[in-house]
Amino acid sequence: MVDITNLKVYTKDFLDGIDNKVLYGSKCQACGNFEVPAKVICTKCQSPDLELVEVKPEGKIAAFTCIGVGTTHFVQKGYSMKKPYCVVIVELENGQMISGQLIGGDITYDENQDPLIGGKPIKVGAPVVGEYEEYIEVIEGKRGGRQEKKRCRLVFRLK
Amino acid sequence: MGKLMRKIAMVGAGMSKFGAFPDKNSRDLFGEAFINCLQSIDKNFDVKDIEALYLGNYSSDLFEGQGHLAPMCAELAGLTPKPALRTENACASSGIALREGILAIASGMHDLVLVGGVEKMTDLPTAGVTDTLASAADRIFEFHAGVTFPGLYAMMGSAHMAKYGTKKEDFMLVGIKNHNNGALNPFAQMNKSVADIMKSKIAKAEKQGKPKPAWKDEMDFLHDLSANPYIAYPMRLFDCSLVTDGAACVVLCSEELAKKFTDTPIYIVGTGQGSETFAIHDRPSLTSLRSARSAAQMAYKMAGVEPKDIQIAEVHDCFTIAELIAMADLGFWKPEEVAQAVRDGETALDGSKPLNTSGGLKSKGHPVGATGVAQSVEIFKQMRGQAEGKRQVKFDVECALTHNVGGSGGSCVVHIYKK
Ligand SMILES: [Zn+2]
Repeated sequence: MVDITNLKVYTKDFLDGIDNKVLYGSKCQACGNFEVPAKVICTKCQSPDLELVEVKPEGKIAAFTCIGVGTTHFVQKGYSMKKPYCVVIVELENGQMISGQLIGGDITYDENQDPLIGGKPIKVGAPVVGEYEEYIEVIEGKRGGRQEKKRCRLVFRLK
Repeated sequence: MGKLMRKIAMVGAGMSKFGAFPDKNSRDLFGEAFINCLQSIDKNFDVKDIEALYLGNYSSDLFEGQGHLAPMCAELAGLTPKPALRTENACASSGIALREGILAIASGMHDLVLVGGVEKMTDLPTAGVTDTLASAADRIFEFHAGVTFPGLYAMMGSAHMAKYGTKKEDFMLVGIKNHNNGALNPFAQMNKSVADIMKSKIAKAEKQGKPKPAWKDEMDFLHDLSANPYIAYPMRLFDCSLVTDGAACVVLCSEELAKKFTDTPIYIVGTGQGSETFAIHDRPSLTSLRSARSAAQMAYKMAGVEPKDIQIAEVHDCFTIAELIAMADLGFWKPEEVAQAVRDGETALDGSKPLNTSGGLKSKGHPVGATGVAQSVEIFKQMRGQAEGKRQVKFDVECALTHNVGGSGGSCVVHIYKK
């Protein structure tokens, strides 16, 4: 008799959470370690005994960049050297961090060549709040055919 | 633990010209590097002496649609049917191939091995290169947020500016310094100083009858957003390493064998490797890499040397901010002192600790899977007084270091060299 042990939390649980407009962290039931984004095994004590815990997507900017040469996906969304997009690492309430796009207007540069979004300066330490941007993902079927799925992305806005 | 059971010697080292070569593939580039490497070996060498190949390559699969490069390159080097292994740790692929070659000899498994690195990057359009490089980052938690490879280092740059007061001009100074060195390296992709690049742009504008740009000097040129735009703020075009085709090779052997091939082998006396969390948002610090600190500590301890003993180093300047972070992670300066050290010219060719005499990834080029071994090639030449042109440092190099980072720091490998 072989016991096949499954994990309690999978990556998909986190992604499904985002699609349902909930940001999940994982709380380790063995050592109490709390991680965001949710992990599949506790990275502190390696226990798989994790519980998903809802987290407020709110915090302050720990690091940021305004990208002119984007990934294919963002180029297709219309971003370019002339229309950059901003990505931030947000430090949440308990110190955990997460990456996401900062939205809220066009990126421009001030006289010191530092970036603004919608006319407001982007700075390390600035408070931000998350929201969920809906989009349609087109999935190519394994036997041909296409399927459309409603999904969400976590994005941030200056508070 | 932490010891090499045999002394490791480097007896040959060579590289291909780095650049964008539409008519050359990985096979051609490796061939060039291999031949240059063989020509650097002083005497009595026979390719039949090579027992195995360790080859670094990041992603020929995506860049060229060709995987499994190790046996392909081994065939060129006359090794078939001997063992051939490919290592993949993003931009640290061949630094880690070097470490595997060292471990093979140190363990007694082999006496003489060929270590190489190769990458052919310029076939894909820019967005394809961006996607391929970004696939070394966390696909779900970073890539989907829109983060590019320059973007990851740019975010570290923004954190460095906020924490230490580092200026955008400090990044520019690193780029200017590396271009000054690369201008003296005939193997470099962009072997021109920033000042010369500026002058040729002015000359081109005049020739085309366009208004003459009003740049006063190279800093003025680098501040011009039309000439030097942000690829990912605060990293501009001249803060980013190049997209490059290239290859590099070295021959490693045991100390006993080395004497047969040269009177002046270079010994590798320390090797260290480390890892860091995959996504940068999971790190305790956004301005330091634990992979680099840990790899450096391991290598220093094995070599029995300290940061102050290192006279020159090739550090992984995939972006100018990466060189500043490396300067602190390797223990050369405190993190709050790195910008001032650059301003004072400490890291220039005639400074107290020249960094990236080759021109670095910025000017020499960054064929990702070849970069680690190409760093060793520069150290081999500098330590033997054989660096081409005027980039040979003016003192005897007794102790040197290479620092090769994979991805946004998920991997790092450090090697220390002595005569
Ligand atoms: Zn735990």
